[in-house]
Amino acid sequence: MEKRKHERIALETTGWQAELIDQLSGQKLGDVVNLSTNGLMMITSKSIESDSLYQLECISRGPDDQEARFTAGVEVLWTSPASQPDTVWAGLQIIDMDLESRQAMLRLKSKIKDG
Amino acid sequence: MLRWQSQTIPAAGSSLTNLFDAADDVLIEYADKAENNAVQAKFFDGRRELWQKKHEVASLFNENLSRELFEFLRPAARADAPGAEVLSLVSKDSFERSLALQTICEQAVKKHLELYYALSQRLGVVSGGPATPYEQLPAGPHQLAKVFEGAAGALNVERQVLLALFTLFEREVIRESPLWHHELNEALREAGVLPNLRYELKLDPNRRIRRTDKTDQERQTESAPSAYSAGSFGGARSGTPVGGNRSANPTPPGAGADVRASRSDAVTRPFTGTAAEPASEPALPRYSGFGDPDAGSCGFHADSDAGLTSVRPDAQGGLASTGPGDPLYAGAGEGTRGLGDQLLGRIRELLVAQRSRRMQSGSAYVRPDPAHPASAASVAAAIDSGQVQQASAMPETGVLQDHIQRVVVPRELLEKLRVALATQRSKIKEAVGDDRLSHFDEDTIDIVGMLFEVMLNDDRLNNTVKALLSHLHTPYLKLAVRDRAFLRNREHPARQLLDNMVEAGSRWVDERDLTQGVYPRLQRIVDLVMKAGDRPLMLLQELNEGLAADIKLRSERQQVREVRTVESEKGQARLDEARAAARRATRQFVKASGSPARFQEFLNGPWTDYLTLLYLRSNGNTDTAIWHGAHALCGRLAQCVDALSAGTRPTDATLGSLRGELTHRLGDAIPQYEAKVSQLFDLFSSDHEIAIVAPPPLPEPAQPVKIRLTVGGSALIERLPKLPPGTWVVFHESDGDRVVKLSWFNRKTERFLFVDQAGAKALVVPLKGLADKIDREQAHVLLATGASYVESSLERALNSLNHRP
Repeated sequence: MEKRKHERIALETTGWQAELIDQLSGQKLGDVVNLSTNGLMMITSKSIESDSLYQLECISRGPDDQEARFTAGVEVLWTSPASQPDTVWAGLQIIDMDLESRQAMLRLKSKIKDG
Repeated sequence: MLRWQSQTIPAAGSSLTNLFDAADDVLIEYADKAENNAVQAKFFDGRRELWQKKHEVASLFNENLSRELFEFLRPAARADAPGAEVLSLVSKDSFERSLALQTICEQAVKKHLELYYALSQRLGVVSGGPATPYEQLPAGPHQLAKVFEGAAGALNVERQVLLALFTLFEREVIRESPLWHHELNEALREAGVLPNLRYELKLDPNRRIRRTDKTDQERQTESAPSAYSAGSFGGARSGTPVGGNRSANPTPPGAGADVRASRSDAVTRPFTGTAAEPASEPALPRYSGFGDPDAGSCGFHADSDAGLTSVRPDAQGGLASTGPGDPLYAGAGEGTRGLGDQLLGRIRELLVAQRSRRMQSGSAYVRPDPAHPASAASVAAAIDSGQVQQASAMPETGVLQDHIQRVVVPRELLEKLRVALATQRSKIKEAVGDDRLSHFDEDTIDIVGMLFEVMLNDDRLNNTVKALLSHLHTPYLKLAVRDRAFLRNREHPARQLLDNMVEAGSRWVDERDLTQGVYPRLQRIVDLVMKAGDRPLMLLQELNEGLAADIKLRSERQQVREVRTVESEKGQARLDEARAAARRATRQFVKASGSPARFQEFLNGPWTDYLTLLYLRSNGNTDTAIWHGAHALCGRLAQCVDALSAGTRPTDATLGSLRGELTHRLGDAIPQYEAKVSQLFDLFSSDHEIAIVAPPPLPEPAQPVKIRLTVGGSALIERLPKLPPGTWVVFHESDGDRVVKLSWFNRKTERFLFVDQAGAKALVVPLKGLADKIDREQAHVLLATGASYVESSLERALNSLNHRP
């Protein structure tokens, strides 16, 4: 694989999971596939379109009920149908994130690294 | 939002009342300054009409604004921007009205770009869609202008009065509106909608540059070409600069100092026919690599904002030319050496030497330099004379008009133009007369002629742009003989304007759809320069600044969009790779003779997605415990399914364990797929009828087009992958030249991604295909060197003279 600029956070391999909540509707938008400090990929059964903007909360859960949360404003860069009908992959770009959330994200990254 | 609405509508109404109050005095003032009684009467009549109908106008304004305020929440109903009818030159009045409103709105947005950027993004979140276009911002400049334009339709007033009212509207209403938008923006921010959004450059998180540190105006000042001292040319005409509408009182229309009005007047005259200005784009530079050599997380190579010259790249880039005729840089010039004044001096020396040689050899009559040469004004008058113009009439080259996207300029027409320009220069010399034309002026005429010859021979420009720019021949000849600094001084506005026009013409014009790029603006500039008087310096400077700002804005917008385009392409490329790996991994568990349909649905749907996800999370590493575990689990499932197909149902314990692990794995990774495991295990229920179906045929891999490369083409295979992102490439297609920018070379697929002038995906070209096209001269590379176009052209002219006997 091409060397990435940002290290991917391998949630699955260390038992962490992450879901995305649309803060305006309060509904779950999708599940995080992987993420970097600049963006994330998700899989969702919601109907979403490229260029859409969302204010999201990412809730990550790990082993021993560890939980991490952060919020981010994101823009949908692209979508692509998944193998399962009515499901799509989507690339999201973070356009807005406060310092606290960024730190939470980095802590999550660190925890995942440490297993 | 409703609370904001309840405050904003009355505030806008109150501002409109201020407009009516101010209009009374301003229209009287305009009437006083009117050039004649007829115009004066128009202002008096307008004042009376406004007085009588102001309540009607106010009522219409409030009513329409209330109705359209939250139009952005209904994305299907896209409102036309004020001035959107600019392509429709139904009448001069409507054109001027559109242009005035368009200018007002664009300037208002530009002045508060950070505010409107944030608001557009936040309202996008609120509406659950993309960023709200500026044209639809509630009570934004465009919406206010549109609503006022509609309300002002109730007034039966002359064009000059209407333009005056628009200018007042900008001052009294639009200028107040950022206060309302600031409140809305803050309210949304406090409500948690993109609370930390900043208008900043963040191409590289490690090199973050706060764009908010400076005002837009400051940035403009920095980025604009250095101001050229009009005084150094003496007596430059005074005028209101573009954007200079912040004065206490608007400049009276028709008073000769309103640049906007005079421009709009000019563009409606015959040469341009229709000057189509593209609507402003809502996109804003959130990420911009303009001028940043390390631009972009995706390895962008920032463009040089300087002029383009087709010199060969240096060895550092590994692109050293193989020698003259290198197909990679077809159309390239001879390179620049930054000669400046020396260059011009050398050209003049060569012209003198040439004349001297001819005199000595007696091969031709060489007239002596006249003792009493014609003045510059006389030579300029000869250039303008009807005798010259008639004898060297330019062939019709076509103009961009309403509902027309292309202006076709065949090569033959270009040749006719070349001949016409050469004839014009001869006729000018004849008109001045051998006994009066100084050698210096003759050389000046020849040098300007060479500039245009070089332009007409330049492969970087398409024929349409060449034909357009050739109309500058006459005004530039006049300018050069009147103002010797033009050829001498690099900072001369006419030189900078020509540099920028060539740059814009080479990059931002799509010959296949001239309405989409900078062509309409170039056409308008040419038109204005042709109609400029004897002292055009201020105008040239204004035009140059406007064009430079346009180029910069286009570059920024393109790069913002380009970052997204490349990120999207990379993301989808990664996904495609992961999907392919997942499909390969699942396929081995499906027997060629067939498997139960339910099992195949599971493998080809949820399980493939699950493996895709694993592949993506591990960055393509399949030598992981979780991947191996998934593989083993799928093997166990396949064994159970095979046994079932053969008539042996696995034990409940086996199935229970299998089901539990599948549910755990899938449910953890993609919770919505938990239910799919239940559906799969229906297969093992006693009442389920098993349907064995053949696996779907593998999709035929796309057969690459076989290209047989020549030796030259094969050599390019090594070099092309080293082309830096940001390189511009011209594809010569049957329907015209296509100028695109290289954004990314995917080394895995060996394909180049090119973006168009808007930064959107334009072309994906395989390495071999590009090598072949360049080798066959169906494409060539443009390289930015930072050299002035005029200077590099002069250098080419010098080279040409050096080789002339």
